[in-house]
Amino acid sequence: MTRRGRGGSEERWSEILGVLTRESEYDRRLDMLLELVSRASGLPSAHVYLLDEGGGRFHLQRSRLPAGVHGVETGGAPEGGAGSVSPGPPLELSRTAADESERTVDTPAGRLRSVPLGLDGDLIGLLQLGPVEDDLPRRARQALEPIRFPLALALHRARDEHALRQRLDSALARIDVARRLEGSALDLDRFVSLLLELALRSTGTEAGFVATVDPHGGPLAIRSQRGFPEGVAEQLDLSPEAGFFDWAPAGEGGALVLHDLETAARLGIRSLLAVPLADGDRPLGVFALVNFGQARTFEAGSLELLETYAGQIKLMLRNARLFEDFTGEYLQTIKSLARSLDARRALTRGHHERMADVAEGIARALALPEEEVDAIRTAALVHDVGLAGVVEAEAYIADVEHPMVGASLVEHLPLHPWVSSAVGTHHEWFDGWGFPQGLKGEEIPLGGRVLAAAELLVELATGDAVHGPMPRDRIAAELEARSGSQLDPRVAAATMQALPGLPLYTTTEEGEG
Amino acid sequence: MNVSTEERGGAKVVRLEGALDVAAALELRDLLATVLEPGAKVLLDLAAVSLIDSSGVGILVTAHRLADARGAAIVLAAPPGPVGRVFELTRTNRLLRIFPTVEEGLAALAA
Repeated sequence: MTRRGRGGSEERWSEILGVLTRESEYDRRLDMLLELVSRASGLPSAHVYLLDEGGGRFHLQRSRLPAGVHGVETGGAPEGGAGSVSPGPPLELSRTAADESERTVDTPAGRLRSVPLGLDGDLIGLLQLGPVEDDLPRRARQALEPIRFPLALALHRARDEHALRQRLDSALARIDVARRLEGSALDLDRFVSLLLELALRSTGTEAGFVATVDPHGGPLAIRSQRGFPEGVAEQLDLSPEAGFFDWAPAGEGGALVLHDLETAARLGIRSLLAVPLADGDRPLGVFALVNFGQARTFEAGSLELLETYAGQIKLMLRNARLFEDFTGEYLQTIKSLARSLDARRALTRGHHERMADVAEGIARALALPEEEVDAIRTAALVHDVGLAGVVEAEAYIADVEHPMVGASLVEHLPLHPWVSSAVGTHHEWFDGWGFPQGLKGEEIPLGGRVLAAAELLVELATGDAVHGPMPRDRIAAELEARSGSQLDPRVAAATMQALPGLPLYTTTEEGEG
Repeated sequence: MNVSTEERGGAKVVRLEGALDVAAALELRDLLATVLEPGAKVLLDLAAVSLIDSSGVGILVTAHRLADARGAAIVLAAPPGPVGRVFELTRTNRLLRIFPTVEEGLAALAA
């Protein structure tokens, strides 16, 4: 039996805050708190809203409905058993001055008493209880008064912890992203390093390095080195301007020799044998063995081993280069496929390019690093490619599944992982009502949230068969209206900031509508 | 590295002995700059070279370029197996004029 008076109040405090220690999952915590409120007040419906970061809107966090009633809006139907289906409470509410005070409100879920929840004089959310006629029943009021503050405190802490967990998950995801980004390069480096070590051991050589040519025109640079005295490898400048090596062009046989004898002597190098690594006419790199002490004979057996290791390293470098070339060509094909989809209808002509420009503008407004801006742009250029090859009879399925199909077309390429994740999630909604996975909030990768905003803007600015292009001021109003539901509020705010400069229209469209 | 020079059949025969590494390449650079005077015919006898590395190969390539620039001629002769393999590995065998024996090298210079 619940104790009354001061003792009962303390027990409620303990029970409410105890939820935070007994349960760690956010939704489950809120369910337990609502159950507690419902039990104490004797009112079967309880809904909790919390203010968003901007302080302008309340978002429904959890609902507790009378037994046997399924709320169709919240999707929170209890398991098992048939029950009546009634509209649930609204998913979000605009904040008004009236929310500062307790009042009775008529909602799709019935007549409820709206109780403000505050901390340190600031409104943080609303607790809506019902059904009521005009005011709370006496028992409910007596039960509610002493628990309003601990309830607000518990909800506030639960949300803060939830946000922290999401940030932690996001940080862990970023670490995973970095690992994936470095994965292929690391494998190559590990293999080259292993071969280098084997070559040094089997030829009895003191030190060695593998240098590679940057396929995008950069200079020859050491990729892996072993056995050098401290600081020596760093002083080896292998750029053509430095002239340490003389590497004849492929037309002259691609011969490689050590040219700068003075530098070699200054670094204490006694002997150095460098083998050029080339794929036909394309230089790939240099494999070099170095001795500092007694010059050792590179006898026939050692030279055979050296040639074998050089051949294996060349193969690795060539395969890495081939895969990079393949990726570039494959991506071009995917982009062309996406462009060909746009060309089918007048309204979608240039859609992918426009999406890329708009998405890039939003990504820059979010001050994302350059590689993430590039990844978002690439994702935008191919985001609807999953619609390719769809026959009319399967159009609905394709429409739902095209983000995942598109993501699968690019996910195994050595691209920034944001590319495939953004393509796969560009139709998800921030409130969880998008498709195909129904992801919610920060479960949706940021790239996908940016593409979602870009797609909305481009579609509104393009118009459809019935409506002409929507002017910028009305698009701004749409952005505001969809912030927090369809769009991530942070992305929506950045989009709003970038909106005046975003290339939404062709020259003939601007100002129409 | 030991170096000895003799005249044979109108050519200077330079016999190299020991390791042709960084230190030896620095010495040989000065010697070759002297002997490769305009119109000179020079044969480098490599039969006693125990080791050659990229610096040694480099100085031989430089000597060929210098000879071309000065209107002189230079050939390499009698490289031991490992030395010949180093020319192949560094892909310099196509830039250098290499003969299996001193006699064949001298014959080429006389032609």
